[in-house]
Amino acid sequence: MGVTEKARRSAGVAAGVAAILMVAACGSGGGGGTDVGGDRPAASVGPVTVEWWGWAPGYDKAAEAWNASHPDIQVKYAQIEPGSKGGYQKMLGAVKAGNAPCLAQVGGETLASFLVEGALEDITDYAKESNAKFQPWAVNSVTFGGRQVAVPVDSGPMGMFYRKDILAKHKIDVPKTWDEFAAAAEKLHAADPKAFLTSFNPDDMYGFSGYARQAGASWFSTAGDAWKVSITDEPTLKVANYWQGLLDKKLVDVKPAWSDAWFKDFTDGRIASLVGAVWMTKVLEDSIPKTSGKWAVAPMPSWEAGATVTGNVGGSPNAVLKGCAHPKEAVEFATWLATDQSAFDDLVVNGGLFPTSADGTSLPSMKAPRPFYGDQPVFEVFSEAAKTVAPSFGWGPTTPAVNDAFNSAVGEAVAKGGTLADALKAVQEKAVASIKDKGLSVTEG
Amino acid sequence: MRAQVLTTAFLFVVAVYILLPVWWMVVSATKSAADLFDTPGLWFGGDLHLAGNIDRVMSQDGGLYSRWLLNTLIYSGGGALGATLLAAMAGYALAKYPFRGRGVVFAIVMGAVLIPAPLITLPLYLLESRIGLLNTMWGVLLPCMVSPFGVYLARAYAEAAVPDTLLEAGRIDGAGELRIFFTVGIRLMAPALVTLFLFQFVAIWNNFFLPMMVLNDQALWPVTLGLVKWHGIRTGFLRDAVVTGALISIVPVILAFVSLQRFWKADLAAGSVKL
Amino acid sequence: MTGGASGGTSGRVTSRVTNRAALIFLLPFGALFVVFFVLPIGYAVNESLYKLKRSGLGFGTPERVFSGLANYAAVFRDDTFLTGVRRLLLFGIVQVPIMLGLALVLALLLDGHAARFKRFFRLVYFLPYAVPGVIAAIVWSFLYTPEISPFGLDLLDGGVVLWSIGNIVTWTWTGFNMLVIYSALRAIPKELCEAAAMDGASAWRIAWSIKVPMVRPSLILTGVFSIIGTLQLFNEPTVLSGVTTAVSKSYTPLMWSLQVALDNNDYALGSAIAIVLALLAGALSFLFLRLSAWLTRRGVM
Repeated sequence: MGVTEKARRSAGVAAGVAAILMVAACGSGGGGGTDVGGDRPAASVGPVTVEWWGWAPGYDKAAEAWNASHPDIQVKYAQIEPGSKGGYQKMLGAVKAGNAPCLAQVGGETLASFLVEGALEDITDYAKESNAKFQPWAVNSVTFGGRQVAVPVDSGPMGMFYRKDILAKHKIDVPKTWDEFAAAAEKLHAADPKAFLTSFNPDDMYGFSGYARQAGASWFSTAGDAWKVSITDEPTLKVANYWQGLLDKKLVDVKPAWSDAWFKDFTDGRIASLVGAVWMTKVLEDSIPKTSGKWAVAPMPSWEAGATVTGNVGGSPNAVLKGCAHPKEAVEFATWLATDQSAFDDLVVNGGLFPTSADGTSLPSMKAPRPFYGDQPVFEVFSEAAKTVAPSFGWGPTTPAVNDAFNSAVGEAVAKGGTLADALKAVQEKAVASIKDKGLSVTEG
Repeated sequence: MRAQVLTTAFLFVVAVYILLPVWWMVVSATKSAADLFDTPGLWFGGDLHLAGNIDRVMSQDGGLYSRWLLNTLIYSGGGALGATLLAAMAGYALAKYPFRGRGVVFAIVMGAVLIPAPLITLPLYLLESRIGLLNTMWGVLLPCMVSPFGVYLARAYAEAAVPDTLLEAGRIDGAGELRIFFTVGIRLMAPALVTLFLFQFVAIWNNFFLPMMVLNDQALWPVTLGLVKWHGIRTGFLRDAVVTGALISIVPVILAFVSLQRFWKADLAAGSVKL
Repeated sequence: MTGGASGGTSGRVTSRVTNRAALIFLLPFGALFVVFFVLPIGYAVNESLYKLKRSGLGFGTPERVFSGLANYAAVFRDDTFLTGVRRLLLFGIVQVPIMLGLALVLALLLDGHAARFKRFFRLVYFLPYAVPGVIAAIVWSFLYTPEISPFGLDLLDGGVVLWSIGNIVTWTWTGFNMLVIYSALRAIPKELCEAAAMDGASAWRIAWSIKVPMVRPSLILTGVFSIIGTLQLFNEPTVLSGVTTAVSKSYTPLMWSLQVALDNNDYALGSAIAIVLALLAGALSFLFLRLSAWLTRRGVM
């Protein structure tokens, strides 16, 4: 009896030790992803799995389509929160923990920040042969110091989404310039005190940057070995003063972007237009289905009559994150996503994304009527707009910090009656400080 | 008599305040996504859509919701069970064995009560990535089994409920210390341990930050994390699923509380004079 | 401590046996405690003493250098931390007494004889404890947003939003605190109150002079919990920051810590903020305990 007891006990101990060893074994193997060295498995050995994180609508279906036709490279897609709503945090954390996915949607405005954090792989060698399939500016926008770190997938030319019925009811012409836009805002609000021509989102730096870009701003640039921050440049202040005028007269609906309240105001007709990026096409379709058929899209209002310049918001390259074991396959998939005709046709329909490929605007889906917009083929408007997008707008190495600074400074200014110009000064200061905090060189301008 | 009416009226007003959000959830769970914000919030309106909403919750994302409920049960139930047992043993040792260094150990445990959980969570995440616990159920379960406050409570309970004489008697009978604990100690502490279990159950059920950091795989998520994620996805506009899912998720916990109510001693402060 | 069984070693626990048994009982908790509690804290402390050094545009590989207490200095240099702490102190000074006062009153009423339907009320008050904080915050955020709120009030305005958060916390935790106090009240010997009643003391007087002093430990415990909870305020403002621009992502120090660590990828500064916050929580709890001990000595409580 004593013997069996003892035997049983030692068996138990052995099992316990085995369990601990197994955990340890998982640690070295399963925690993986850190084998950056040369022992990457050859593509021919069995199917390769590429993990992919993103949030754009349409990505999930694209992954399914790819998997069906590419048995050797299987893409495992996970939809995460939008980047600035927590998605980027998750990616950086995963990189730090050494278990990041191979491929991830990283907005153009955040690429440099990710690069500075050491979160991106250099994909120049894998990407160079297919770069001719893209528009040159798109490739430039994902290349830093001669190193390409992402595959451009979509861009975000802006346009004006508006409610045909509401403008018609109050006999307001579709504004073509910002002056007309302000006049229309006044007229509409006077005719219906509960309604606004548009909204202002104090927590949407990206949207605001699109307006600034149209006016000719560029917030970040590099001068030699130093970053240059110009958030309070003249075009930006012009835009700030313009919106300040609308805010002071209470002619715009102030709401957090993407909030329930914001969409509710759209649904109820309290917001009659939105000057935003092309990918809002799908967001509006999904979020306010009750207003289907009442919307239309026109070009973004311009600062000077006749001189058409368009802003741009977002557009998401897909980057290969640090530690990816299959960068070649990841780039192959991302290139397919961006340039394969039927793949991108699906992204246009399912995701409202706008192509960066060289022949993208000749896709059949560009001419497709969309019922939500009264069967208007809205992508034709954006195709035209894309030709007049203002020259490149630079982003810096600390975009998340700048975004947070914008949200609190502008949020406070709007809530407590400060001015947008002063708030932008605060954002400029915080942006410079955040770059200094990282130990980088920076000048103001 | 007047006092009775007044008192009851006051308690009633507070009850209305407490029930208001719950009532809103119940009402909203019967509405379609389109009607949710278009009908008066505190009363039924539009089409009765409860069945449709439940169906939506259960089928969204390939039926993940029921998996989330099960995960929650595993994390909260399993984690609380482990935490209770570990805390009971440690607290018993602190109360019943005057070993060397007892004061120091107890001081460390008390200090740990004051540490904000998120201070642990961030580095914990990095630590878990090194030992391969990231994105596993153990990565959530094991940290949840560490409850310094539970040890503090268990020590107080053991001091109050387990007489030294009984332990002495056990030793005279020749029983080993472990045996004495599992036959005598834990029995006497049992009613208090149920409280400790429930306390820890809710603490884990409430902890949403740790799973958010540790778990990538949706199939491993607890229900809170899943609902917050549904809430965060604006484009799908899953408000109906969020509200209905939230309501469904709290029903079993409420039922568990009602049925275990007689155990809820919650005399958490027993012995805290020595705090 | 019966001196009866003095026969040799069997009756007394020898120190060797004591130490060994204590070790066995403490080991499972201790092992997990070290791995999942002490190690991460050590890691955070260590992390907070370093800084990543980059240069130029920052596209090279950063270097990790020892920076002493520089990160701690940075915590106080940025007004975000002090603004957040001030906000929390204001919150705590108002919300904690309201919540605990309400919890005490409810517990006394449910323990007394004047109320009816006591079982029902007890259950209802405890119900929010079953609702996870983030879920409660989401539901309240629906009720706060003017466009969709049944109240038709703007409870997310910058001027009131701190108290809207206070309402969520009060709603969630009053019942729990009530139950802690209530349980202590039930443990008071009935004879004590009966004797006082015989002497002609009013219900108020019994409550104030007998019951409240008897549940003092519970009040202190809930007080300490509330102080720690206040300093860790996170879930509610985080959920509200998604629906109102009046709550920024650095609204409370803990939110700022996570924002710095996760958004800016600066784990060093994030850790330093969290450590300062933990020390503050410890210091305030200690002060609170001292204060209540002093008040007791002076016979105020």
